[in-house]
Amino acid sequence: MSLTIVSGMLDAFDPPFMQRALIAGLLLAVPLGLIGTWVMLRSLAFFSHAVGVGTFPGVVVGLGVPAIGPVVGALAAAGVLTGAVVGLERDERVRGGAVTGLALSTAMALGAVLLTTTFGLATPVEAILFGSLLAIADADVIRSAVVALVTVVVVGLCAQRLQSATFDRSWSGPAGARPRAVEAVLLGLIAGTVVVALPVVGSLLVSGLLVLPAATARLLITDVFPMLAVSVGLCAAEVVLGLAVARELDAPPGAVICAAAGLVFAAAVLFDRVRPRGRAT
Amino acid sequence: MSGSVAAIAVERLSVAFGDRLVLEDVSFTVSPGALVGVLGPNGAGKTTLLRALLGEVTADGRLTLAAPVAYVPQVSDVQAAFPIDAQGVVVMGLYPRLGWWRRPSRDDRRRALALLDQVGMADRARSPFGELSGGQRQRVLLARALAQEGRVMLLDEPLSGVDTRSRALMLEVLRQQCAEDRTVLMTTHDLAEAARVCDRMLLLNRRLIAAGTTQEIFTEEVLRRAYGADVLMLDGRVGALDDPHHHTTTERRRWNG
Repeated sequence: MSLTIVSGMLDAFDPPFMQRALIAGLLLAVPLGLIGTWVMLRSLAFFSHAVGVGTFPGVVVGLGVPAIGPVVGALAAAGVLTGAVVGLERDERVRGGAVTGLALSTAMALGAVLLTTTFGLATPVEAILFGSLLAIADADVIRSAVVALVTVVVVGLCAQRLQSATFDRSWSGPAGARPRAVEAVLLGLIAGTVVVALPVVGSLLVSGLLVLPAATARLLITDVFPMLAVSVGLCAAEVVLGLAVARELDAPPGAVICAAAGLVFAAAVLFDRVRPRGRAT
Repeated sequence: MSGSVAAIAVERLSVAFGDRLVLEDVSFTVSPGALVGVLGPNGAGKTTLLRALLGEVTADGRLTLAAPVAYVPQVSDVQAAFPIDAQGVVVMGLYPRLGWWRRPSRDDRRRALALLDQVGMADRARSPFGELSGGQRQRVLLARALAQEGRVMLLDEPLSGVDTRSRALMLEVLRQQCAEDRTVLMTTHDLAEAARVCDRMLLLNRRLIAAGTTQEIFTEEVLRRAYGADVLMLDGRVGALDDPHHHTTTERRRWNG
């Protein structure tokens, strides 16, 4: 029975487009798991969701104006949204998620208006929001590899600084960790990872894959450095499972991968509640 | 000063947040090996003084500190739920010496364990930081500052809300630091404790009201200049009333983002 399931899963990756999706997905698991850990520990889940959704109007404009292209459009939109949220969050009157929520809904609305009134796109809207197995090109695989490599190097260099700036910001500054620079680098990596992951998981669900594997790892692990590795591993496993099932069901990959990640998280919650040694704190 | 080079020298220090002047024209010097308490009511500028000494806020005036400087922030500034154990927190104090690529070695971890032992926390080395009591957390943060091996150690309210045992252990460690010619400057709300343990005190209320020994600071006239009407006279002894909810308020503000 289990052999049949494994064999079915392997068969799902026979077509070249599925192999491209698999390689891109596995490469993306590296930045998604590494960056996702810090996204979760720094309570940036809502912000990363807003960045994902914020790419929607950029992708619409990029697809509508071929000279721009969806990647540049998404990157520009993610940059504008990140800059606007970070800048406005300094105003104490609207701090605490209000700006992020506002930016998210405005971006979604803008994308919908542009899509229906200005650009008649050949690409279905579900593909932009939830990803598409057929939309993953060789260039996406290369971009995924570049972002994975950059993330490994940057997180490798900054892990100790990220740790101290997240645990104790007021100490980390005088200790030389340069928390503001570290935060700026992290925001840049969130934007880069989100944009490159769009073809696989889509703008609406990319934050799910940033947060769910890391949140699952947090329930199981009590130290941040092993948590990074477990988060990447979980993300990779969920990508493989999600892609195979998406092919089988002819469903958008982002939706199935996130559903798989959600189920794994639910299982981790149950395990955490029933295990005799208590919770990972 | 007796002719020695000051460990801390502050000359005409002023700090403003927008239009609000938080510290005004503060000048003082601290000799090496001194344990100095910074006192004053809420909003007097005690934490701002530490942050100015650390170079974390823009300040006018001249500041000179013997480097390196170790720092213990208020325990409420720390994200206690972060996945890290007590030993990991102390190892963090060694990071500035490790550079970009080097990871903590076995020796570094042993050193962290020895420092935890110094603050009576070696048996909780593998405990998650979030599972420790307030006093234990404060002792771990002190051990991290010891790992920084500062010539000057700055502590923000290290004795607030800690149990008697933690308080005694911490004060013993600070005394030991001073005996090794390191300089300790700590803010506190506890006037009685400051009077008992500090060599000198700085009394702040935006301006430096007074600097000196217990006898010089603990007079009704001097305390009234800092605390206003909130000074209590009992059997000829002087005390100052302070807001006991100060830290609860800080923490609540943090949780509300």
